[in-house]
Amino acid sequence: MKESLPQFRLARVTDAGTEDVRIVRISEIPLDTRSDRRGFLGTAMTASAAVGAILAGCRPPRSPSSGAQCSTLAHRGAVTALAVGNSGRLLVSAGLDDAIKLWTLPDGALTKSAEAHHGGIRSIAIAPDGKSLASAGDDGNIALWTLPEVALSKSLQGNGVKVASVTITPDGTLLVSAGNLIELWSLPDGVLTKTLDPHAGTTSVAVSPDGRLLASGGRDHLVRLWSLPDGAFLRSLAGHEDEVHHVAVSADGRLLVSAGADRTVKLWRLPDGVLLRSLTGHDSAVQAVAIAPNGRLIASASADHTVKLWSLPDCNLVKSLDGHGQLVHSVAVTPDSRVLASASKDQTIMLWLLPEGTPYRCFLDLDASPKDVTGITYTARDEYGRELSYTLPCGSPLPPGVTCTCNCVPGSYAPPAPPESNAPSTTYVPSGTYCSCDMVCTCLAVPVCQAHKLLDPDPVVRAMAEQIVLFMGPREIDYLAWAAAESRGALRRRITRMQREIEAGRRAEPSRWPDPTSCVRYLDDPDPVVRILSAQTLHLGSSKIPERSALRSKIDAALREAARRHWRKRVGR
Amino acid sequence: MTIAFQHPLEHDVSQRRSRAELPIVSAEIFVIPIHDGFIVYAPLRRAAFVANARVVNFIAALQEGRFERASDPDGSVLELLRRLEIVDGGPEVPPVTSFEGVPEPAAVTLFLTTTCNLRCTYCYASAGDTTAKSMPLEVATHGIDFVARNAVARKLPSFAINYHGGGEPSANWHVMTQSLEHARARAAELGLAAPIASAASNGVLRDDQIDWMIENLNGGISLSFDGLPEMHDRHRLTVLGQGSSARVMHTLQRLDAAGYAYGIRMTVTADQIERLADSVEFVCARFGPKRIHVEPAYQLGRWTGAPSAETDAFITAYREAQRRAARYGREVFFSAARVGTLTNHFCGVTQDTFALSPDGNVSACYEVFSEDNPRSADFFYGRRDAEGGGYRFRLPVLDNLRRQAVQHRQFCSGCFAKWSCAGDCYHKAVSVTGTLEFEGTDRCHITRELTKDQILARIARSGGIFWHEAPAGSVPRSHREETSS
Repeated sequence: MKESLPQFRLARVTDAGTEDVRIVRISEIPLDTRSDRRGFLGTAMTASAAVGAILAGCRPPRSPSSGAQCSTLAHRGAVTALAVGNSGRLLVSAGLDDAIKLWTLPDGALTKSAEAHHGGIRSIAIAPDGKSLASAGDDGNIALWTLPEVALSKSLQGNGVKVASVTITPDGTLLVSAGNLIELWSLPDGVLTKTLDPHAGTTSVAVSPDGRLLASGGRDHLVRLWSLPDGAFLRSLAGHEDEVHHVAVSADGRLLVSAGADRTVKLWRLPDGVLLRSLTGHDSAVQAVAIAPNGRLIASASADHTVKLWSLPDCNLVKSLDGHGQLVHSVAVTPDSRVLASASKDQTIMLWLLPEGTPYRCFLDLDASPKDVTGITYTARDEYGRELSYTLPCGSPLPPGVTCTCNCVPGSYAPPAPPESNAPSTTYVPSGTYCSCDMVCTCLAVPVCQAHKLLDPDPVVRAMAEQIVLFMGPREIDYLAWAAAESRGALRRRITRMQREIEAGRRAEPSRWPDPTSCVRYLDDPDPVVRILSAQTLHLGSSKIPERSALRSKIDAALREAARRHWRKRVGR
Repeated sequence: MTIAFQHPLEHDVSQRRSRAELPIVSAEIFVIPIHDGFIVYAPLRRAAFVANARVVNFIAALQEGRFERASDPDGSVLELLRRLEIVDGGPEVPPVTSFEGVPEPAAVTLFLTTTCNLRCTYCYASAGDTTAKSMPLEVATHGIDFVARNAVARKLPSFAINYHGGGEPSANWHVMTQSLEHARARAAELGLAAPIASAASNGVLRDDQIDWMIENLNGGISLSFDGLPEMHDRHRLTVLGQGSSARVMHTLQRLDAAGYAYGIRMTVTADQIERLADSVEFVCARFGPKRIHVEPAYQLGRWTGAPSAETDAFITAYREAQRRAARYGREVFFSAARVGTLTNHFCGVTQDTFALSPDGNVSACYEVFSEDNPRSADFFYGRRDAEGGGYRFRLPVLDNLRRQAVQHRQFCSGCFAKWSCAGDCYHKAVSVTGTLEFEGTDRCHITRELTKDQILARIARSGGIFWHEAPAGSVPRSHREETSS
């Protein structure tokens, strides 16, 4: 149907002339509140008040969606390394503050922080089974840690020279470290099995998915290929005009990507090493690269403060992500290729949604933040029934259904004053703008979840728990490890056994699902975890339940309630 | 706290400022009336705020070369405009990419068949009503070999294959599976990475087909599902006239169990509008699609002459659906309302989409999958080269399609949604209006309303005063530059 010519270009509009210039502040996200067009706009304010609010920093902390820099800090120093667990639920960060931190994805909740090295951490790698972590840094040490405890399990005696990079082969049997030399260590015993001499400092190492090819990037501008496990040198790849800072291998093992101080990202065909493309666009050295596991995107991090996304296979620059205020050290992509994490010298970690590159979240650790930075803490149950404490920057909207436990917890970090400094001590004064109190709360996680019902005295609850845990399957191995760690005695052994069975291939057994009629009464159980279990079990077997029946309505209501209560913003799932 | 402003022009006390010293409006600005004022929107700056008429007129005066200081005595409006790069922000770069010359596609879409196991009431393709035509394997492999060679010539890491309809692609199962095997083998032979493979499907699949897709389609699947079974089954019927929702939900559950990323496409007819929100909530509560794509039914094919769903009621229902989806942390998506995207192309029609009909002819449009389409002369631009291994292209047809990119559309030039909607679906427009000259459709109204919502939501999420994102750093490059680099 033909419509009239749209005309929205800037032009003068009718003005009664009775008002001063006014900016209208929108106080609510319209679609999160009400669809009434009239109601969602907030109050009009003078333009000077609006700009004044911006200049005074009185507006809520910058939302990542504004594309601005993060206002929240994740580490006390530059964040130099990131690694994502195979489940996609765990992000590990490390930095020059010697800290290793564990965060949940995509929430960004900090679950563990541990001091690990002296002199700064440069590289981390998570073992394929998700149970251990390797770290290395300027102190020349290589350490192995258990996850999720971050307890030291082994320290490998290196040659004392700074270690720039570590990686673990996909079968978990070999650790490769790189500094002046490249060293191969057998795992889990940590015995040095081979030393490779690339004749120049090595900045980065990466292993192919089949574990048979090692790529290294060097200060001599070369990328080198080696065979594994024998460590035989295969060939050098020349093309970079300055130091190679980072190398990465694609999930299908056919593509090698390197990042260089010459401001380029180069794509090499594997295994022959033919140079396919050189991507230009960064204004400064490229520090790191990551290839999305689905093979559709390359992310490159640069000293020009940006992360750039390049599409595959056409290699077009898709987007430049401007969120960090300083050099970006590291990037990592989740296994489902939906989320990108970036870490910067500015002490921040950001999440971005892929493939659009939409800013999603800045991480906040109040222990890394000065006292004039405040956060909201709240508790929420995740989909496993765990009640966890979360922290968000002050002014952030809270998810629906959560319990706000405190709305103004100050940061705790006070940079040490230099000796003989006469600097006045810092005094915290609540701003009063968006945080209306200065309470300090301590929130304890309540470790109750589906796996913890595996030994419930009630056989129906036990059966429901078993089948739901099996249905979660291998994607939730991290969760099971956590659940076991939170448990004791027989329950711990039971959960661990379940974990092993799933790893060995056991899956949900629909024939053993409890009869729906026996589960119905649990929809009203006082224990929220049991209610969740029954709703999930009934939902999985719901195809047999008539669509318009009262039972279906009850299940739907319970699931809705579960979704509301168990808010956990899962990206795309 | 009191903030003292220094007026931006305070250093130039003179009221007789030269024209050269005036603040320069440096953005393409649109003014969108809303109940409480006006949205001032600079799409290429990714910036917007809501203001009253006085502010709008202040900016309009600046654009006319007049600085009305009385309207902005303390300079705060000017300060805001500068922060948003609307004033003195330097030149804008329109997000324009253009294509010219003989195409060298590195992606092929295969219209595998016009056969379908469903008889959806609103099928734009009228699938099943015509003599079935299926693509021979040799047609598919010829197209695959062509894009594979192009990928090598363009030094691309790989190429892409998309299996699409005109019917249900999986109905030509052996060509679907064998062509992908062929593509993989050809990629390996040429030293390319594994091709990216994706498909659209109605979701009525056998378990072995679902599992094959999970295993092999690394680029995802888009499944048609209308939500509530009673809604879905009203329109998406099997050949025997039975509802297909149970089969589709089975597919969705199997995909979810495998953790596979897929999208759901919901088609909304006029009679479904009032249940749209319930349908979206139904999907959110039960399944885990990567995205939920909602579109009013096209009045094409079997749905020609049916009541239109492109109405205000659809907009209201869409908003409610979006609100419900947000409860689950999800978003619904309407193809032409996408403020996050700046582009001059709505789809591949203006970007040399290389789609092969079962007979091996080249179409630029997924909706024009058959040479029998009344608009085929406008969208089919190539055929197989009988002598060589490639294709012969009719460049005048292709160039005409390339000229449908939004920067060439006079009708769209004054529309605030133009750099995100990018002119909407060309085929749909010409089919509805009956003319090749774009004159807008009822979809334009939907697009503008939903785009307006997205702008307001961005302002609200950014603190409530303004929205400003750094422009997406992609410096548009012409196709010519890209291919010659």
